[in-house]
Amino acid sequence: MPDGLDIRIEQATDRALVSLRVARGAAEEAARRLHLALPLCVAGEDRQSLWLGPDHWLLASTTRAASDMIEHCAATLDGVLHNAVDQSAAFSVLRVAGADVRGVLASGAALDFRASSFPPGGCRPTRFAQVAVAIVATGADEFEIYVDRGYGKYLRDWLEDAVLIAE
Amino acid sequence: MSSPQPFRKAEGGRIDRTRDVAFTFDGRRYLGHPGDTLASALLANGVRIMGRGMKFHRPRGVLTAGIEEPNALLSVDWGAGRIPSVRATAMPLLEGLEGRSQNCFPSVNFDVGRVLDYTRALWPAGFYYKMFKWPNWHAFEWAVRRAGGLGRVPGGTDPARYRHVNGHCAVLVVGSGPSGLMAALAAGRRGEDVLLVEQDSEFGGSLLHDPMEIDGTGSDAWLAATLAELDGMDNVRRMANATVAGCYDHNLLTIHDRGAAYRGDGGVESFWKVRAKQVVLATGAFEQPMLFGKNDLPGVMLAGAVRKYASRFAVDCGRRVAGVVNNDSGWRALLAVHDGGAPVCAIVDTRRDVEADLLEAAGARGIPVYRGATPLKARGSRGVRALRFADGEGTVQQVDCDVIAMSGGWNPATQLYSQAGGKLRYDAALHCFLPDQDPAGWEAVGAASGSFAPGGGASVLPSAPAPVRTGRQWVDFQHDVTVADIELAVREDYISVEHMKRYTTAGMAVDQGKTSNLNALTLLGQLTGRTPGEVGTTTSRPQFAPVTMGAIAGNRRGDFYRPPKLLAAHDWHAAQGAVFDDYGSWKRPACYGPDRDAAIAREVLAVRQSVGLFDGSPLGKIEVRGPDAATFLDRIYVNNVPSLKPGRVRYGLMLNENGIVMDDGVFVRIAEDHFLVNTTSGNADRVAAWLEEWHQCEYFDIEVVLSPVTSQWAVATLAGPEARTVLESLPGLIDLSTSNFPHMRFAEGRLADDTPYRLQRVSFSGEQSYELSVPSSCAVSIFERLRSAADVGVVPVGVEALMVLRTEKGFIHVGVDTDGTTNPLDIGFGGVVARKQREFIGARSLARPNDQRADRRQLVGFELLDGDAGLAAGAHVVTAGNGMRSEGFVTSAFRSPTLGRPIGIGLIEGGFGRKGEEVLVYDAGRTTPARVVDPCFYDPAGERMRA
Repeated sequence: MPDGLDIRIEQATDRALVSLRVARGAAEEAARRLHLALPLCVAGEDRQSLWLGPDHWLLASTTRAASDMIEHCAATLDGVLHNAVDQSAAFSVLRVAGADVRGVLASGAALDFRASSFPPGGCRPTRFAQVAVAIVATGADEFEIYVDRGYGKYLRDWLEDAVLIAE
Repeated sequence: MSSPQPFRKAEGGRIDRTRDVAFTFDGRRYLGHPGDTLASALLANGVRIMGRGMKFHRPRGVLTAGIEEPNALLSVDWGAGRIPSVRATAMPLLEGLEGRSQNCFPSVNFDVGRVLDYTRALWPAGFYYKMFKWPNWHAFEWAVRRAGGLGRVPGGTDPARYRHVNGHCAVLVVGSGPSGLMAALAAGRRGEDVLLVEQDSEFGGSLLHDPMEIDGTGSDAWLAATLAELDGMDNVRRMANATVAGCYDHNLLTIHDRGAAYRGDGGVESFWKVRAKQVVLATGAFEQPMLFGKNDLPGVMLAGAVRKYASRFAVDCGRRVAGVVNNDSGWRALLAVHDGGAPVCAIVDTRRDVEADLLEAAGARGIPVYRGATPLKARGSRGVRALRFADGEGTVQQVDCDVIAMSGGWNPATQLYSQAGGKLRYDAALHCFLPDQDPAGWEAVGAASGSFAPGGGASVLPSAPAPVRTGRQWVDFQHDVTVADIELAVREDYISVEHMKRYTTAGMAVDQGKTSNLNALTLLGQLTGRTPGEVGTTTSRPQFAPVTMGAIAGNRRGDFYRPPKLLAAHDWHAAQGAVFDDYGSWKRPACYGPDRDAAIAREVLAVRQSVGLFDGSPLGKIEVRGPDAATFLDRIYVNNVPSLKPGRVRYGLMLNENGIVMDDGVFVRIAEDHFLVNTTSGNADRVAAWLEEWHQCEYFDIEVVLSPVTSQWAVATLAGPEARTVLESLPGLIDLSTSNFPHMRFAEGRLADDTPYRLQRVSFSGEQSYELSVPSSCAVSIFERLRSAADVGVVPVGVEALMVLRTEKGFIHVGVDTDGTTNPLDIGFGGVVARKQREFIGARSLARPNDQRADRRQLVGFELLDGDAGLAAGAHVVTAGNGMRSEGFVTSAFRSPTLGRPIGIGLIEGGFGRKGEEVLVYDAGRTTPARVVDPCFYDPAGERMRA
């Protein structure tokens, strides 16, 4: 690893995840009722909503159980066709942080990681290091990468190697 | 600290004489200085022969001082690994570098391959199309390939590391000569995100060897001030030793960045993919050679290169220089070389009119000048000894010299511009092709745009080269193409520039004709009565300069080549002795134990006799929810969906629009408006996308939402007569008795420890079987609990055993037992299709007569008449008396541990009507008699799985 490269990679294991899919025409109504921002991620103290598509969010919470979130969706979205399913075990979440994080992430995806285009609060579903991910800028120099749990080890190995060969 | 470098000047140049850099060439040790290129260091040491011509193996020396070099290509080792065909002229001299000449045997100074030169009459352009007709080309190919070519591909694993980086910028400036620097400075001052890329090790371009006055100050001072100002801007990045190699759609440019690698300390080569809003092309121009006899001799060089070696590297290319020029820039280069201490003994200019101040300058230095002259021939065998030319009156003269510095004018480096789609136009006054119609976001500046003197001053007015028949004159040095070759092409009517290029191979070498295309197409024009503009250019394509394969591959090697997808219980399986194989994107247990066949047999028998535990987690799982869910899936599946009651499971086939079987699996009705679709493991993503496409594009009025949930659930499959006993040991499950929970039922709930579960009773093995899904985070604990649950002895079962089990049952595996021609009728689903009165995807196609033919390939089983012979998947089925015509093939075959004999299933023509018939199975040269039977070999009534 090049001397002084400031980057840390760690597993985030602290959250319940719910995938919320709503009928196309009802997306705006659902977002309004659930206070989901379009299309960016909303990062609150204990919850986030990751925008994955025009009718698709991944809801994350560090304090509430997935079943609670699913019930909350059902109650709030009464009359709106939707499917909220527990995905807490479907993802591996890697937290990558440090002053050099944007430069290292630029090895994995064609996204523009410059702060001007990817400010804190942004969420980008994309292809990173050949696998599908959602990347959330959780701070100026901090990102969380959501990846299918089957690729969790691969992606962590990949990131650690990317740090090794970074400049 | 001085070293014996006989051609190094005592002072000057941008090298650090206080330090030596040791390197070797063909095993001999030399010293150079920091700031040298490999070529300049070799020249300083008096090494002139650096390679051999590709075709005729003639000795070759340095022609240029940059990336365009056609001759001095060396194999280079430094730090990690060998790179073939490195341009010595663009390779910074690194400590410990080992250079080797290429394409020669036994040595670069004496190469037996030169025999090809002495027998050259046999090898004209296109010789391989004419000479190797009998018996055929392939009889000669190996010898021709051995004789030609340049470097050898290094063997073994590349020890170097490479990486990819993506970049974005507002302005990408390609080249850091004065024009590029000015463009970068202007954009930087506007606050734009600037990336300045320089392929040389130093910024400055021509200023490094051709100083001038800029903004009223000397260029050295201007350069230092400019670089300092750029470094002070946060919005400007600059890279040296980095070549912009390719331009693709929407201004995606690739950069081969060797900067870190050249710095050593394990630095890696980077391959950048940069998206630029604007591109400033400041790539300069390439000086072109003159045509005269034996112009390929070592010592014949471009005038600008001779000057660059003298002023930047403090190297004299020789002791006595003769100039052959057709433009003013050649004069200026020669005057500078002369002033630098290498006497110029003659300037031979093909023009009659030359600027008075140039004539005056030459006269003041006592340099003889020959105007309106014609260069005839370089003399010498392994290096230049003299130049022969005809003076303005036609008198043949000769001057002794050891360097001929030639300048045939300059051609802008527009390769990237052309890649971007820019159009060029021929400029007769400058005799070159200039950028004409800029692609969106592109701008060419400086010499790249034809402004050859950015500081103002003398113009360049070359005349077209005039070939004279005085022996061979090289047009393309790297591919050994001569004037005679192009004349031959024209005689044989290859007069399109694209045809001439391919016939003679001019411009097709790895330098892509940077020093040969202009002369080649000019000559083609002269021979066919056309201007160069009418002849036109060939197309430039990436890469602008060769890029190492490692850089293109980046880090996609080993485990990063194809991302391995691991099961949640991967480590648990490993602890059980699993041998992992790749199945689609997954690494899954193939079997448990090092002896594969024994392990598979043991696992199969465990399922048949007691109980096996299989990890079915990759099974695709898609939730379909909404009031129209049943209607939607009824259109997706061949099978009847609405009649399925909640809590029940049904097997279904999916077809594509052509009626071809695409996927199969069970689907579950969880609730009236809520379904769970199971896909085959390899098709999980594809089917999810398929359902989305039909929903979004065709059935958008259908009210459903789709949620793939494959990764959330780990699936533990228990199969075997003891499956229920084992499962019952988990507290909190429903009553599993067959009366309460028969075959093809579904239930969900929570275990006693609150773990949510989904349970479906389905069977791919033919035994009593339960698929228990729990969140993937609970996978290891559930597998461990089930394995150690009862005193039954639960055996972990891998994918291979499951393949044997399902083949014993005659269950198909889509994609193995079906191919791109198999419809549901072919695999015995004619009844299901006939009963379904509603539309579904593929239904219309099945109504075509061809889809209903009785002699289509249909699913059958095979058993061997000779029980000891083997049966292999892929074997063809042939019939006695019908020649060896294939009537179909075996698609799955195993030696059944359950039955103790080989069994197989497959597709053969008219198979349904041939049960009991004897056929021959042909495999790897052997023919074995077999009988066509029903594909189900075990428990055809299905009593075991319903028990």
